[in-house]
Amino acid sequence: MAKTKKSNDEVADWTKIWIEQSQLFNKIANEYLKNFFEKNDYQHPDQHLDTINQWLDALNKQWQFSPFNEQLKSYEQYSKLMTDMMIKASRLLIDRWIAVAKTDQPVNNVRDLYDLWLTCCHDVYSEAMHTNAYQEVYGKLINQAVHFWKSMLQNK
Amino acid sequence: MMKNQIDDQMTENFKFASNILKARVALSQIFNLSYQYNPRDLIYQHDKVKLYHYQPKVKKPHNKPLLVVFATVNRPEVLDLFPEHSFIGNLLQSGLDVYLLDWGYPDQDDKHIGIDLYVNRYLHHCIQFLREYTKLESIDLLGICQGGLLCLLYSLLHQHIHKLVLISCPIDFHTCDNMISHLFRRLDVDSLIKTFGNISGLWLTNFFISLRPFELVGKKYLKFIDNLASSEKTQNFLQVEKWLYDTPDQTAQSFSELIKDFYQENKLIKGRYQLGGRYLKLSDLNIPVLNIMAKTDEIIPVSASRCLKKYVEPNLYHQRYFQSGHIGIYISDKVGKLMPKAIADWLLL
Repeated sequence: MAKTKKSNDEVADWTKIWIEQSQLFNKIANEYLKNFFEKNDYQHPDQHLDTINQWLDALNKQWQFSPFNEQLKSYEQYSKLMTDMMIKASRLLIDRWIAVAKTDQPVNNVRDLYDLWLTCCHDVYSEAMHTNAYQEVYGKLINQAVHFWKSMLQNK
Repeated sequence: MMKNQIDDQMTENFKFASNILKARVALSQIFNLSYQYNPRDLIYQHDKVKLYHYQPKVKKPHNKPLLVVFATVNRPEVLDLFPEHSFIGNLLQSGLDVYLLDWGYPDQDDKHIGIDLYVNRYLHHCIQFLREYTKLESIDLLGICQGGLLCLLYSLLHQHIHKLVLISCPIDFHTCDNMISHLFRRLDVDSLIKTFGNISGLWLTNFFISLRPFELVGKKYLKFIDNLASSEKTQNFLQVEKWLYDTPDQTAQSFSELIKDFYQENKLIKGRYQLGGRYLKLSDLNIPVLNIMAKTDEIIPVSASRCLKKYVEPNLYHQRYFQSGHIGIYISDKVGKLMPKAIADWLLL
């Protein structure tokens, strides 16, 4: 039996992020879309765009970051990029949700909606990552974070 | 309220919410899991580096030992995660005599260890030991990912390799679809190692995940909760998850060299890479090489590996593609048996 090096506290940041984020998705979806997935009363998304947009506004608030100090300016640029991506993903989600509603595999519940939302986010994110703009901002973000920690450690 | 009425109200939405909670409980079991291995013996150790010999599964294994060298990033346990049908298990079933080099977990005492020491001290000493242990002049070498790069460098410098197998080995670091290269090219690596010393393995894992977070986190866990009813699938998932977060730190020196010499300056294919006091030329590789690539690998894209063909004599060069990703190639049911068999067939030729 081999022991692994990492302790419980050190790992699974992504797990926590996912659990929190999926719970939040579920909560907000149930709050805004509670009548959407009633049995025998399917709601077509294109007839409820106002409600969907309200839901997406609430959902996308999770991507809003708090103000940053001068040293971490690149975080602000990065968060702006992420916010833009989420807006793009939201538009894509509405289009695809409407499109699949017309097929024999419509979105039937929050789980399916979450799955579709993840697909849209993935597609937008993958496209953005290949742009120079994203790579520039990402590079600055990492380098500035390192400098930030360097100065923090020096001031200790 | 009647029970059947309550049951009726247990909509899919409620199930989804409750499954998220079940997933949290299941994921907390990761730390109770331990690795399983095909039977093996520790036969040599140099500092933190260990050399294991797997017990052969056939009466008369191939007479040439095969040394498997994984990357220093992540643990080699992924090669034997489900021993009955693992990559190592299938190599053994195919009649090979398998040895594994385990780089261990470097700490701050090892921050000076660079690529030269990895290749010319640790790998070289393991190979020297293995040659003495087996009383053979040469061995077969199988290098994986960055471990493949170390094996390739070794084969360019030393004469004791009979055949070389590379899996997902990065060679050209500047191809268009190499996302890691695009991101690492902007990294101020001097500041990074000056600030932190060794590079945290967890930081690197999170970096890899950040390349496809909605798939490697969101979709992955969604699939996990869909399969919660199957204890076998749940256990298998948790085993992979445990491995994923079992990440050795990278020594400051080796990480700095990997980023600067390879990801940023792409020195090897330009003939400007120097190791052990020599400039290394890929065209000097004069042993048979089998270059294996995973078609949907996003960490080491096919484009980063296949360029080796240009530098090696056609009669020495062989390549194979498998429909899989960077890690799936070792644990997927589809590729699980095919790849070890292809390697064994080529080595036994």
